Amino acid sequence: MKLNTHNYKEILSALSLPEFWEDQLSTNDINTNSIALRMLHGIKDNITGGVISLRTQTENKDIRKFAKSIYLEVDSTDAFKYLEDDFDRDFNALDELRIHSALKKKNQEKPLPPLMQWVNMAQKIEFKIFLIKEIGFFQQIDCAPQLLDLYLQNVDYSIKAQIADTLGLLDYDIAVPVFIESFNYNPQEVKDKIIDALGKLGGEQALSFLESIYYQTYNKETLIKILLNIRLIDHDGSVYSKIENSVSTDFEKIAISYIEKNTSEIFEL
Amino acid sequence: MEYITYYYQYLIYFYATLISVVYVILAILGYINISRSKIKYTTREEDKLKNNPEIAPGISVVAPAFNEEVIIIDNVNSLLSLDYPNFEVIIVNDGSTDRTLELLINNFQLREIQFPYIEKLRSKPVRRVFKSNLNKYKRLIIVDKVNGGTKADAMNAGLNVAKYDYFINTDVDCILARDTLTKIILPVLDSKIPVIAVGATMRMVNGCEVNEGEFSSVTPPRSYFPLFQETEYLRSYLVAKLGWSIINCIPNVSGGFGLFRTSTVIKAGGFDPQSHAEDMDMTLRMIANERENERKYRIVQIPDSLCWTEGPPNLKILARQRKRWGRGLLQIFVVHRKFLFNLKYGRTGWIVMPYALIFELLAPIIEFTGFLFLVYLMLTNQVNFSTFWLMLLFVYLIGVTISLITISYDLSVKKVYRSYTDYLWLILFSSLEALFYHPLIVVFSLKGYLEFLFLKEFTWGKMTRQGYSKTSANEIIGTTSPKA
Repeated sequence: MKLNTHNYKEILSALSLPEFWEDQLSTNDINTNSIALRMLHGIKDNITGGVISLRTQTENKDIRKFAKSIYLEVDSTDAFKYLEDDFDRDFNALDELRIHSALKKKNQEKPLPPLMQWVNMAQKIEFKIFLIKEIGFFQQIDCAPQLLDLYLQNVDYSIKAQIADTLGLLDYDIAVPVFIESFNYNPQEVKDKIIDALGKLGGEQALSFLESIYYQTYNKETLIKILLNIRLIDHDGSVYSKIENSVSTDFEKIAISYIEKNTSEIFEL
Repeated sequence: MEYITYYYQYLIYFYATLISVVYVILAILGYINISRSKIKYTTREEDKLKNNPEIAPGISVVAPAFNEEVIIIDNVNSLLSLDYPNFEVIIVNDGSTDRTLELLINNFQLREIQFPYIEKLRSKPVRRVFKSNLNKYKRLIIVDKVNGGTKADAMNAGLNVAKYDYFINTDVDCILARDTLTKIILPVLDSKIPVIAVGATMRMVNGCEVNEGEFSSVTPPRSYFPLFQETEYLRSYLVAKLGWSIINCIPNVSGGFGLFRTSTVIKAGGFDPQSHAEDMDMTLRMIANERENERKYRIVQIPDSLCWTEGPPNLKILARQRKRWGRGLLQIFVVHRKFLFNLKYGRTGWIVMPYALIFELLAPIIEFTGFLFLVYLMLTNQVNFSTFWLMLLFVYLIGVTISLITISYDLSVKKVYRSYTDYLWLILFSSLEALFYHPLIVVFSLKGYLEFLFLKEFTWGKMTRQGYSKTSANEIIGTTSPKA
């Protein structure tokens, strides 16, 4: 059922509800501020970033971060300004959820600006990783070359892992030789993401590389991961069959059967 | 003897005063925690999680089952109906000798699958892994293993199958609230320091009506022991644990319900099948592992009632439960004695473990000897009755006040029961607790200590299930034999 938004706005205006909650936001009581922010967030259409910015510098981190995330959603002039500053000194995964949700709404109105600009500005590793993840989610393919450049720089391994993941999502196959070349110089966290990325990017080079590392891998979890990704990109099934015929351990046989069962739906489509 | 009498009376006086002070402090801290939680987390945050499945962390719900044919179907239905985008339900059938597995196979149309089982944690061998043919049960995994004799062993097998970064440790007799997973994961997300475990409030399911795994009515238990235990649970969760949580001092995330970070549990070696209190043992080993490797961590308690468990319906089962808890507590202090007054383990070593030693482990001993001492003083006419009654009333009222505070906290978090009469019922029973319930707990705890000292062997505590569904087990199932 579609809401009658006109009447809704009229009632809000007649009862001066936005003004009331704006007043509540300016009080010094944390509880009242929190309720006021939620109310203003609910009213949304009738409020501006200026009203919310009252609380974006407040001492209480929960109120401050919540206000910043609402600001990102409602402001029409400089909505992304807190992305320039690592969002907040207390940035955490709940903020990721709030920002992600706000970005999704913004993206529905009009395509987001390239998030790479804020990746370059970000100081905090966690915030950088989050933005790189969002680049993949919003399919900002234009950011891919810069991400690959960043991958080649001496950055934290968690950032490298996220770049590999994102470039896989972006289907940026130029990254395949870079990933293959750097594979052995990375820790397991990055290797796992590269394996998954190669499974998305596909191609002869990726397939042959995955096959070669399969025979060198002792970690059982990684073995399953490699097998799964080979299965996903080995369209004629030749490499997968070759491995299937060569395995000797019960574990590998069970793993192959498990992956076949789990991927059968994908291949049937 | 005169000196002993003199000093013992002072010892008891200071002991009672100190425990009252500690409880008042915990009650204040608990209140702060509830207030903060109400400001920070609302349905808006929960909705954001549900509406953004691509960013919601995955959670494995692991519930071991041993001879649970009466309740297994209701429970699994309840777990499958949880309102969260990314989760799986793993039921570990720990070599049940009744129809638990047969019921599961028939009701959820299970088929055996080839599963690449990796033994990251030690457990008795896994025989088979099942998944459902039906898409609506795609989140369900059944692990059938050789009986290991303990919940810990079954949990380890479940964790070897779990695929997500966080898991819920629960019992198959527990019914979880539908919004459990969104509520329990929020404090994990809302922290810069890794949260390795989260606990929530547990209550008694005995008075509730459950229909196909969901509550149709929530009321307090109507039988005596679960009703006493309801207030006892609320006091433990809403005052003690919420209080400790503020200063990151929770020593035990309940075995009945808790969220854990999978990698931390695996690094700490998983659940110990030899432990009589595998939940506290696991929590302490996680703390030790994090501390010894100089990693920061947080263990959080949230005020919401998320889990309903079946309380002991009669004295026999209550005795069995409390003796096991008694054995477990004593074993904890033997196994984890390194924590006590050890600076290396921070507040756990300096505050909470000494507290648990003095006010939990020693409490039944002090209370019992105190009672014997009182009898001696009465027989030798050494009791000043005007002071005695005054002191007794004072201590009694302190206890009742803490229970009243607990019930008011519970109401402030959420009005779980429909009628205020239900809350009055709770208040009435909490006022009788010290007279009729607590002495039994002291006796059973002491028996547990003695059993531990005499090294008897113990396995899964057998709980006679009453079930909470109006549908009987025979009505739920087909009658075909178990077949993979």
